[in-house]
Amino acid sequence: MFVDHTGRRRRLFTVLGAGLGVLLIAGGALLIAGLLGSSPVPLPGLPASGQGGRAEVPALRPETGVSSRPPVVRTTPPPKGATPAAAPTTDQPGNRRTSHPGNGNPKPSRSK
Amino acid sequence: MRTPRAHWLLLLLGGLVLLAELCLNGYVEQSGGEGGQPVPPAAATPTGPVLRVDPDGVTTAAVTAGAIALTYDDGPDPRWTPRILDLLREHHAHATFFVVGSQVNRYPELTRRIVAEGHELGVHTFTHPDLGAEPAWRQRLELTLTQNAIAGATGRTVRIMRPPYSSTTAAMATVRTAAGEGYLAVLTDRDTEDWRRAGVDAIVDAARPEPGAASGGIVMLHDGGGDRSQTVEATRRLLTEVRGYRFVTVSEGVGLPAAGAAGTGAVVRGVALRWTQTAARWLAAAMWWLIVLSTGLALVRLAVQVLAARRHARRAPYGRRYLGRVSVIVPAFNEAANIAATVRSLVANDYPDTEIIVVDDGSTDGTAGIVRGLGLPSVHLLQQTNAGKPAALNTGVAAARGDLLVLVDGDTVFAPDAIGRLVQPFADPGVGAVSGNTKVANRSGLLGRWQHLEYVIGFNLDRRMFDLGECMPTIPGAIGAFRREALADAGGVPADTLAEDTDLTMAVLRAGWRAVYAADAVAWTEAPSSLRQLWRQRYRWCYGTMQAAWKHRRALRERGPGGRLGRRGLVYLALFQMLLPLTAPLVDVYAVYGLIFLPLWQVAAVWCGFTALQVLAAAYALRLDREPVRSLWTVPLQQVVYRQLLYLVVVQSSVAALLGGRQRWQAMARTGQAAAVATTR
Repeated sequence: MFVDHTGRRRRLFTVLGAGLGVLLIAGGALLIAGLLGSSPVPLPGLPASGQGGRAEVPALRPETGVSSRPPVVRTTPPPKGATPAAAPTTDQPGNRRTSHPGNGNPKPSRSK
Repeated sequence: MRTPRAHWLLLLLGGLVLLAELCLNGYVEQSGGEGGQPVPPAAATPTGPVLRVDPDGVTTAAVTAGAIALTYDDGPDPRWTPRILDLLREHHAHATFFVVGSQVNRYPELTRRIVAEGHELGVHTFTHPDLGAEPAWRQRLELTLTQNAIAGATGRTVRIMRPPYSSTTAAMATVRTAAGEGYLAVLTDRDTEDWRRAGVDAIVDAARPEPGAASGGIVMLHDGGGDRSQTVEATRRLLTEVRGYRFVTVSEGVGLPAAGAAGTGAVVRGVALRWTQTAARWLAAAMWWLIVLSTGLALVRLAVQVLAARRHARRAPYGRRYLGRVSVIVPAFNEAANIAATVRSLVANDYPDTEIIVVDDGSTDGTAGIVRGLGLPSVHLLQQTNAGKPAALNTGVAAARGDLLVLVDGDTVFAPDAIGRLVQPFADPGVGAVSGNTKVANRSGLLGRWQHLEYVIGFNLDRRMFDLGECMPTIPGAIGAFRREALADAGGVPADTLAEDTDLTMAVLRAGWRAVYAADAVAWTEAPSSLRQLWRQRYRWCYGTMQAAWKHRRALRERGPGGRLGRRGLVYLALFQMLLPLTAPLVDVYAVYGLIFLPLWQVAAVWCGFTALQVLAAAYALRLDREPVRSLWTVPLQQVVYRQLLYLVVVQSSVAALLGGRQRWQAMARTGQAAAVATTR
């Protein structure tokens, strides 16, 4: 019973099994590929001009010349003052303030 | 032929891929939208709608005068997003959609439409988790996957993001991680909290610019994650009622250049991610239905088994009558360890006219000498050169003088009344074969207890059911009796399968005889005591049963007893001993997935429910057999080694059958433990 005298069945199922293996490997490769990411890109700069659109940020760096460090350098949240709470959410342009927690601990900016 | 091995690799690979796909789907399924518990009040909202965070500080930008930037989070949604897009197109307005990556993968067409109609896309993470509490790698993964998904769907790159639950302070952690990945964070000026569905008026009021304000700012709305009909209506009113402002995208509003084209790598990764997510969803759905189906089948089987066993057990017991001479045939190949005990137990039986024939099948361990040395005049010893068990049985049958033939394995010890009880059903002239009740002699250790329980359940539930259904597929070689006429009708003991007992029983049934179960005819047999031995035994049984079932497949279309065997017995075997075991590895993978992703109480409830059912069924079978219930504690443990061994044997047998190799008989190494039982009982 079940003996494959010609060897054709064995060949057929060997091929089918190999096909299934290729399929599985392809599926696994797709899965891994989909989960991969590209390396971080430089942070785009905010426009230096723009009507009423800019916050009052004296130490704003020139945009593209500065590559941002990964945020790892700042493992603790900025001091309380860094995020001015209670800023009125009315939309007077330019009424937003930002202080610079990085000032006390300046990191050299890498230039490109 | 070489034993096939590659299928193990395939099975392992398949299991891993399936597990990964299930996990991906589980991860995606967790995604939702803004909603659920109310977020803390907006007093904690950090400043600035558009944030650029770098080590030197935070810089912000706002929407230019005369413009208003509508933003929609949590989409794309097949129901609400198209309506909003229609409205925007109607009013020549542009907006920004902060999309959830997993939704982008589900609705790539819709995402392309958003871009094609001049709107901007932003990243709103992949699964909309509350990222603030998550580790940085998870935050980065959420951004990366969404970037990939958008690239795959639209071919565009995205440089703005909004963290979920952005009105909370915890969102700032995400903003910082995102900045490291190159994203500007877009918060909001006017949070409409439209997801609370407080009414269209409330949403419009919250979104409408202050009278006289230069800029309309950034307005946060939601096009996904729930019923957004109010948002759609509010959008219509905003577009018609708010005069004097241009409706712009966020980048347009703050003067940023539009996002560029994505690199080929990102597009490929995005397409791969979309395919994987789609495949994962299908796989998870298929797995769910498989689990439902196999659970349903298992429950039906258990119910039928228990009901049938109950009915069978309540039948009037067979009498104790003399039914003519009985010939007992013991085929023996290298059974030195047990043969003396077997023969002695047969001689000690209380049935009046018993003839015992030992057929030594060319043993090399002195089996024949042992039998001769017993000096029992009622025992006939036949010797032949090794020709296999079926041939030995046929030799014994040819020499036997009785009309009732009891076939006994050389490692089986009979209870003193077993022969007499075993032949009682032959009082009915329609009965051609009788199965006795085999019990495991060596029940010490986990493996022995497991097999003991399996035997008790198999004999007391399965066999009683087969008896009532007149579809007994196997009279066990350890203790079975045949009418000589029935054996002749079947053409003797067949030799073309590895399970000659199953093959013979099927042939007898197809010849028109009935096969019944005599529960009180008890014999003890030695069960394999190592996993390797057990594997060999079960491989032979499983492969042999497949061979026999295939050989007798025409029974499916026969009438009468053969048809009952075919449509009940063979279908039962195919379903519960082949197909379900073959899907069992998938169920185990699902169990692992469940441990990771499903609520623990749910997993525990399912597991406890199933174990309880199994324990109850086993307890009932033990009670029917008047066996102590103390080995029941091993039932829950069967889930870890025993279950896998039993289903992997079916995998191995199926592969061997498909590839069509020749299988050798693999004899079990006997240790004489059945003999030990004879002296203690």
